[in-house]
Amino acid sequence: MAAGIVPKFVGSRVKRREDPRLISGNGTYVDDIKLPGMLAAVMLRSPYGHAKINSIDVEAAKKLPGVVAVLTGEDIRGKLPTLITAAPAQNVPYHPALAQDRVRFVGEAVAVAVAIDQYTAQDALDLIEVDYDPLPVITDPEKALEADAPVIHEQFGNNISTRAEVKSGEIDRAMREADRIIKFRLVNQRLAPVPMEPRGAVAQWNPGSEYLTLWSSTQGPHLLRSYLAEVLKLPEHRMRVIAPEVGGGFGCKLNVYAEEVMTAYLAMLLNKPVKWIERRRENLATTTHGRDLITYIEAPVKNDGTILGLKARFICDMGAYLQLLTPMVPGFAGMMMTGCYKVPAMAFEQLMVFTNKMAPDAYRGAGRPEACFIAERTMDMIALELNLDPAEIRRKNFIPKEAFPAQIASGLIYDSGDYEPALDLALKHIDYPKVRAEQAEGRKHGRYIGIGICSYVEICGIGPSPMLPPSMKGGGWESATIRMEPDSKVTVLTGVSPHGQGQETSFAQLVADELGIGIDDVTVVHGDTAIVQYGTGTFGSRGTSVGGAALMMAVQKLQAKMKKIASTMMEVPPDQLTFNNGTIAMASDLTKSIPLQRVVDASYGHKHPIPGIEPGLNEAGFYEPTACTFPFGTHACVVEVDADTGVVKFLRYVAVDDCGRIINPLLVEGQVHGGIAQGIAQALYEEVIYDENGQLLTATLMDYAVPKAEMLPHYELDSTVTPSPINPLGVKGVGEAGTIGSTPCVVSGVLDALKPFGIKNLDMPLKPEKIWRAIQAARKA
Amino acid sequence: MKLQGEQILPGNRDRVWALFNDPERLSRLVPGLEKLEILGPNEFGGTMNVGIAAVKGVYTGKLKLEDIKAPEHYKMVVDGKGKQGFMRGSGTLDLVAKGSTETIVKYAGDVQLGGPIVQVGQRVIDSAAKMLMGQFFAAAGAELKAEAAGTVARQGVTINFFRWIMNLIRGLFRRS
Repeated sequence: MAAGIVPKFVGSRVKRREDPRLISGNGTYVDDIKLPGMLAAVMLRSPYGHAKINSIDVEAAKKLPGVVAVLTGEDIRGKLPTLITAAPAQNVPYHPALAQDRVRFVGEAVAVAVAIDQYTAQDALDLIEVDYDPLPVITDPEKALEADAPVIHEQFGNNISTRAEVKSGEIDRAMREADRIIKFRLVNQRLAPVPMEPRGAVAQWNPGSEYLTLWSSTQGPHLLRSYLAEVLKLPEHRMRVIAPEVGGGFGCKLNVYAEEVMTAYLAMLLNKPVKWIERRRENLATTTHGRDLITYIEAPVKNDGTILGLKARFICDMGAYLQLLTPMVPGFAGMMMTGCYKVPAMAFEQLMVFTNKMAPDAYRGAGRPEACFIAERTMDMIALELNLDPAEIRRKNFIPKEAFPAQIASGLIYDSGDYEPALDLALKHIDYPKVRAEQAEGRKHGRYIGIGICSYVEICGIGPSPMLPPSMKGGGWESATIRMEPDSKVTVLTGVSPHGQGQETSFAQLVADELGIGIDDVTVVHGDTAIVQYGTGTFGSRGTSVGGAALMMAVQKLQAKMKKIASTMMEVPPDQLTFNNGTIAMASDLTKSIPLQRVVDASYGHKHPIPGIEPGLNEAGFYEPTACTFPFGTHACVVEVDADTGVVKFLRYVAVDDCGRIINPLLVEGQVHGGIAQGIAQALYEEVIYDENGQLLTATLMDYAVPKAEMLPHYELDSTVTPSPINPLGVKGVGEAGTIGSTPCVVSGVLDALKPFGIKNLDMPLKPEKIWRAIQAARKA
Repeated sequence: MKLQGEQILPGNRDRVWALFNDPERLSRLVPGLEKLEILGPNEFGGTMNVGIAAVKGVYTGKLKLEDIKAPEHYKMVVDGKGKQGFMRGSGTLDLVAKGSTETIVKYAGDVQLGGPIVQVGQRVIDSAAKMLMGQFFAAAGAELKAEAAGTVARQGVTINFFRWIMNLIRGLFRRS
């Protein structure tokens, strides 16, 4: 913030400027795009988890009136290359946009019908005859490793995509010197991201100018353009990718999907605009899933509760093919699995395994929820084994405040942190000693109260470009352009692609304060590669910490230029000037000022040119972060388990989050609320289930348990503020924190409630039936 | 999906066996069966119209009888598919005489289902299968009774549905 200026907007609860248009039906989503002569594409999908395709007969489908084209894998063989995996993996399978020779998961696209409307296209699919020979199916990643397991990609000889080991510090010594080694198995079940708006794409090809326009519900329009350019062999300057309103992403729209490629390809092939809109059942079956990680943990500890190291073996279910970042996600889990604790040595082995399922990929948190689950379950296990207080065991092992910036065993450097105040605050809110007393009293009368604690740290603001996979397009940097228009209103172009994060509001707050103008004088534009300069996109809670920093660079350049102009007009040195309330004023005496509009007129009118100053007011900033940011906090909950039904009831839910400096508390709370909801969903409700034949049993929202409002508690939020030294805004990121902190917190609480039954661990989701069965088994034993 | 159960039919074992080996009569008893043709010795092809939850569709398939031990046992191998999914599996049928006028029909099978029919209907598939089995046995019971009485039983979707409901209600009273 410029000297002498009191922020008006930054730090205040400004309502989302996106919402009026969204809640009044004036948003434009992909399905709202309607072009003259537009055709509809619908995909025929495999009903088999694994089968050989003997033949596909599309003749009857092609003859149906209204059908324009029917394509199968054979029609694109040699014309469209494999879909792309940007993250490094040892065995990367060929992944055609339409299946060739074999199908490997239920829902894999086998053919596409294009017709005058989606109903006709769907009717055409019903006329396609596919002759399949079913093959043995494997859905359990651990069984997929067995010698006699059916092999999904024959060229690799087994089902292993990648085996990788990371080792740091003297882990063997830690294992030797430990008083005891605590061993257990954890499962992060498979989840479906379920954005409210499913995926969709509209493509338009102009054969005259050889120009492709693609509207897609994506989190990264520039990345998508670069990858599509590679697959379609088009130059990037003749491609425009537009992310219109995007109704939620959560990571699953940071990808390059077969349907996006096919929609573009079909528009070019047929010289007609083509639309493909995903249905909910397709969304649950063929949009990337998340998590699906089995972990075997070994934690060497001293009898006083000091943790000496952490060793883990990861079995990562990769599904049948690798999507854009599928192999990258488990690595994040390993690098962050030591959490907020002093763990001098660590080692993890990753086994990435193919199964007959959809590929998982980034899902809100992408590796950090898994990491936090490992760290926090480990702390609880230590507390349980040594009969120590779970809050104290955390406090004992915390990285101390003085250690920051702190390098952890995996090599990452935590920027800033102070973990105890957040823990203390959370414990104070739930009145920890009192609730422990209530718990003890309750147990005497058959009331099972549990207290869950989760102290998390996560990695945000990705980040230094070398941290991204070498083959990934774009970088870890972000971009912004700021333009003061001739009427002194401001247009901001940002390289991030917000889809719910609210940067149209928070970026306007930043700019309004910096330039001393009103928030309604600023418009933030994003998501169109023909308008916005190249950017990397929105993921990994990077929008504000990286995109906001780029914007600040652009703002500062604009300020410098305007101050130079004003300096000549006012005959005051530029460094004595500041922006104030629609003027440029002397910092020492704000009454000595000239209106901003006069400076703008001087620049655009250019009647009295100032030597060395170009006309116009348009500046860009490209910001490469030097490091990542590490938000943290403590979530605490009080739950009660009904021992007769297994139902979990929330008594309290407190979240204390530290996301650095807060630009808009309302946006932060919104992110935390949504995050906690998705995290609780993992702990208690949601699970993608395939049966042993590879059939997806959770293919509708009747079967996949996205929680309803009444299944979630009232959230009590608080925060501590530890600014990040990494970026000029001091922000850390908050898009995923709620998801990361809440899952272990709730599991911790439920298992604490079940402690009197001797139940040490239960795999998520902790559904009433599972809890009830565990209680029944414990009572019998 | 695993199917297993037993039913008592009013007819001696030879008559039940004869019924269960007569494609023409069976085609009237199986709910939704629109066509049953003989493809070869002990091999049949059929078209069935079945709706489970929102997934309604026509399925075509083959049924093969193996391991035949008249008049008490055979194995069925089923392979069918439709626009809404597929079905593959096998099952056994055993007839045990119960006195001279009744027969216990024991059946057991393991059927693999796939496609939209599973994705949408999996919560109701078990009960839908039980309902279809119930309707079939209700129809078979009526057929055997009529045969014993020398009359012809009326067969149809609606009447067999009511027969099944009536059997369920009778079953309730028997239990109490």
